[in-house]
Parts: sequence; structure tokens; C-alpha cells
Amino acid sequence: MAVSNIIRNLRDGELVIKDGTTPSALLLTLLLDEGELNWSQRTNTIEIKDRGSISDGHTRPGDEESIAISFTTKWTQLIGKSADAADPLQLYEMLMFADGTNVVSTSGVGQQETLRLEFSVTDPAGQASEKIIFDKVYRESLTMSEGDDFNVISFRGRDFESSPTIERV
Amino acid sequence: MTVVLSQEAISASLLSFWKTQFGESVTTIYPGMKVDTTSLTEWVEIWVDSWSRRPQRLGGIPLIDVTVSVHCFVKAGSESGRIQQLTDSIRTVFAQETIPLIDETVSDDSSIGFIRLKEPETRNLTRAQTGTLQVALHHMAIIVRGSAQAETALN
Repeated sequence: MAVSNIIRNLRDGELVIKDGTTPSALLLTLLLDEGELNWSQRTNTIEIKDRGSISDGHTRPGDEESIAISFTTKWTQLIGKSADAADPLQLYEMLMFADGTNVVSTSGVGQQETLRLEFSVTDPAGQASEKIIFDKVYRESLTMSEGDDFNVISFRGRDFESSPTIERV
Repeated sequence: MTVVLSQEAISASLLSFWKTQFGESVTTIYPGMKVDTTSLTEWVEIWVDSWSRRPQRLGGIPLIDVTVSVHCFVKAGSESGRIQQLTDSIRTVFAQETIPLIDETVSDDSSIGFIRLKEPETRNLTRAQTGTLQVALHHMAIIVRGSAQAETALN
């Protein structure tokens, strides 16, 4: 498959949140997100200098670090399925693992509750679209705010992996 | 999955809302109408100014920013305060309203979304006649901004 050098922007992205239900995961596609998905992957290195000298020193890999991830979306309904089983699943109740939603964590029993975030970026040239998968995302904060135009949910969390899985779609 | 919000549906919904809600017995001049105003002492002109899409995901629910302008005119010589009275009636029609978006090309009357309007902005555009300091025509412009959104069932 060829690659394309056409720039990608927020219009090409789509964020889908999945849980750990097997065989088929519960799925929520974000339709009103702001296009501000942001993630950072850090690498820690231990630098050992010999009496202050770099040329006589060496490095060792440091601790692995999880990925910091955040996104913002317009807020409409906060709860759906947890209020009425016939209503569709809403973002807030899914992120909060609310009772009645049957959302299952992607991490093992006894661990922090995590979800899977799949971020697809479509190639405008139609050649090599990609999907970036964050498998164990735990919530650090949810900030809810009102606005003149629309209300907003800001999610901030971490993916307990050193880097996401990227695959061709 | 994506719904296309037509300019036609947005304009038609806004203008028919105006028609049913504007209580005064004043002539409204809609876009494209040609009216001889020599015999009128007051009239109102309405049009939908702009439809702009914000930066959005390709697969997202379409959101369009909309602006409606209503200009009202009262000839000098009418009762004083009439222009303000008319302006107030116009402002109450659109202020903070949620208007159902109807697609008139489809046979049923169900709404395909909503237009949410914000607070109106009123400007006095009255100018004195050239050469004199007298006002022949009082002119107020009421501008209301809002956004139109398709109503899509989320999965």
C-alpha cells in the first residue's frame, strides 16, 4: 500500500470509545468532539556522567512512562442508558462506568477501570488511513463547563502503555 | 450517517417562524419581494444573512452558524416612539428561541433539527437626510445570531 503526503487535520479524525465487553465491545463514537485530541509519549533516560563528563559517561533506559491523553467534546445528554435501558449510551456515563450501563473495564479485576480509545485518521488521498489504539485509558479528571455556544466536557487521563498501537486501516 | 442541512431548510424555517410569531400588522418584505413603499408609513425587511460551518470532524453532526437580520423602517411623522415599539416587538420574536428545523421537501412535518437563537443585537441606523438635519425615515436593525444543528440519533 502506498503512503500519502497530504496533511491530515481535525476533519479527518474520529474518536471511538470502546469497553472490555467480550465478544463485542460496547462502542461510542464521538460526534461532537472539538477536534483537540492530544497525547504525549515520554521517554525517561538515566544519564550517568563520570565526574561531570558526558564523553566518559553513559546512559541507561529509565522508567517507562504511560501516555498522557486528553480531549474535549461538546456536552449534550449526560446520562442515557443508565436512566433508561432503551436509551443510547452517553459519553459521561460511559467514562464514569455508571450503574446500568454494563460498561466493562479493559483492565483486569481489581485494577483501575480503563477504557479503549480508538482514534482513526482518514487519509484524504484515500491511500493509507490509520488507527491509533489506546488500550488502557484511565480517567484522571473530567471537567464539565458551560458556554455561550455549547457546554463542554474535558477529559484528561493516562493510557497505561508506553506507546499506542498504530495500524493501517 | 451525516445529515446535510440545506440553506433552504434553515431560511424557510426561520422565515415561517417569523410569519407565525410576529404579531404586529406591519408589512414584512421577504427576500426577493418587490414592494412600493410610497404608500406605507412603516415596514419590516427580513433576511437570513449568513450560514457558516465551523471547523468540524467529517463524520460529525453538522453545526451551522446562522445570522438573521430584521430591519424596520418608520417614516417621520408617525407617532413618536413607534420605531422603538416596533423594534421591541421584533426583538421578542427571535430572542433566545429554539426553532424546529423543518425540511419542506419531505412530506411529513417532523423536524430534522433545531435552530437555537441567541440574544438580539439592536442598532440604530437612522440618518438625517442629505443637506438638512431632518430625519425622514427612522431605521433600526435587529441582528440575531444562532446555530442550526441536525438532530441525529446517536448509536
